[in-house]
Amino acid sequence: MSIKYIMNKNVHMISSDISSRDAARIMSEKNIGVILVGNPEHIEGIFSERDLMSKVISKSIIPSDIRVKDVMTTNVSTISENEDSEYALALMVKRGIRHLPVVNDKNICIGMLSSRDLMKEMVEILENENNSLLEYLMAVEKVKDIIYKHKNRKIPV
Amino acid sequence: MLVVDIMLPGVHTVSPNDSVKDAVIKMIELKRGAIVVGKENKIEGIISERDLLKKVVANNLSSETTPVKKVMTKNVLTISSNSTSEKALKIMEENNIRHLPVIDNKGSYIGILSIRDLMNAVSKSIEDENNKLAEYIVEYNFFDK
Repeated sequence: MSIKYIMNKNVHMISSDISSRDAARIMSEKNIGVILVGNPEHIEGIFSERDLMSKVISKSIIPSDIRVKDVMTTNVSTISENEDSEYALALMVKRGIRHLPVVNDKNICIGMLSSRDLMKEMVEILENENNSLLEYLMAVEKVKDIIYKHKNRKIPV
Repeated sequence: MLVVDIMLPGVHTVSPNDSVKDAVIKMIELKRGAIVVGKENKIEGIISERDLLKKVVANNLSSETTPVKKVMTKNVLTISSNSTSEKALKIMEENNIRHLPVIDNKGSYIGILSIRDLMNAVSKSIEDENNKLAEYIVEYNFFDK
């Protein structure tokens, strides 16, 4: 399935000049654990709860004393809206990341794909496939019964 | 699938009086997004990345002088090691949480279950079943039997 149907279309972005405290306030209000830095035409970085832990809290830095640009993760991987979910999952595993900004053909960010949403979708697809396979097996059993019945009656099938 | 087969085993805890900084260093070492506060036989709280974001960083608290007990979540939801993966997922989704401490039948804390490990395990089990069904259909020629 194309990721444009799975991605979250609410893209939240912050400026790289705000403090990590202000970023945390915004993320807290929106109840999100990761936020993009820059604007939809130019993603400068990505800032996550994990960055806060490893680069602010564990280093005893006062959150208001450090700007997002100094603690964000740069070189952000993006993904085209036309890619499928399997490619997206493989890319996340390869890069060891949990979020991918989704871009259109003009390279403008139009959504965010999280590994959790992706996993949910993959589980749903696999469950549907399993149901189809089981339905097929049950149908085969039924057909076998019918053929057996006809053979016993010596009626040509 | 049971919780005991999916959880990350091990009793990793911090004390309520430890600093937030020490708790975070432990979380980073363990590569986990949450850590239990208390002892094996008495869970007093849990501290997650979301707690740190909302209660420590957003309020500009010092990680060195703030004790864990000030920002931890009390009234911790736990799950029994013999519960099913479906039950664990339901609790996590209903309460919007990503981690559940796992307790054994004596009520002792024995491991932690994250929604990530849970989803990976569920997905793998469905995929295995899918492969088995597909192989069975391809290899077994029903109408010749």
